[in-house]
Amino acid sequence: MQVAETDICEVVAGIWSSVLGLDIRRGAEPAPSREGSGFLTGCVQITGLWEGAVTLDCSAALARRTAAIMFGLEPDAASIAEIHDALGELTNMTGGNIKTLLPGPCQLSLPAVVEGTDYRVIVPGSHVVTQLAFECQGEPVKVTLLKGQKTAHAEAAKTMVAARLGGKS
Amino acid sequence: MKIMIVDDSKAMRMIVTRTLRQAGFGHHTLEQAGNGADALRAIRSAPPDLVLSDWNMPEMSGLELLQQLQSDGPQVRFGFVTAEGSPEMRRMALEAGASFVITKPFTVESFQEVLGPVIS
Repeated sequence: MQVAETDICEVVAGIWSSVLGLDIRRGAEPAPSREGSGFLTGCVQITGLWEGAVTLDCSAALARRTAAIMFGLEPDAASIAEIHDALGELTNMTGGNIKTLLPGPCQLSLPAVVEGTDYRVIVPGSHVVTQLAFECQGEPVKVTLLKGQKTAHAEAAKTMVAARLGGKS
Repeated sequence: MKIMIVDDSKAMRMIVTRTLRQAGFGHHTLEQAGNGADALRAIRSAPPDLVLSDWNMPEMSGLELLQQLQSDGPQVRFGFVTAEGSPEMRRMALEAGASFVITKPFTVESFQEVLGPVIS
């Protein structure tokens, strides 16, 4: 099961437009590295018929601006807790909307947020299936869909069964 | 009318509050709770007329909150405001007694369309 990039772009643009009033567009590929500058990553895990995770990477500067918008504050006035809360909620909305594009039933975890200058986010037993770079107000944003091994094995088994059934007919 | 907003994200509680005001419902009394357990305590002590609840929250989910309220007696109108807009979630919400499901991200217009008939 592959989620179309255009569907993910639509989800992301819809959230950033209606929640933040910001225009977000596809950015330069490959997505910028987190090394050397402040970044935050939000992550929600998906469990159920389809297993995996959705991560949302955002520069620290843009995360601060989005938090200020969500909390109705002056730019740069958001606290660390407010920035984490805002990015967690943006990640929750991104994951929740992408989940509706996947086979269900599935459950969404509560969001987790990581912050730093040089780090990797690893969801054990999963691999990247889609990674899209965006740009908003000159700052990089990245959305990644990871698929867990259980889903990959189930899909492989389904494909093999379909191939066998196809061979018999 | 007293409306309780239940969401573990303070940012989202503020956005829901702002959207209610922009939709023309700002003259109602708006209260907030940060999870289902806190909301349940507050509702049992002073019931609101309408609960707008997130689905996914620590301590007690929105669905568990609704089920607890239904077991107390279905006096409080209840709707979900959630990023979980899949058909299965909608079915579960409506079967549990929710009056509506608003999917995040939402707009002022969607609040007016869904909440207008409920609040009036």
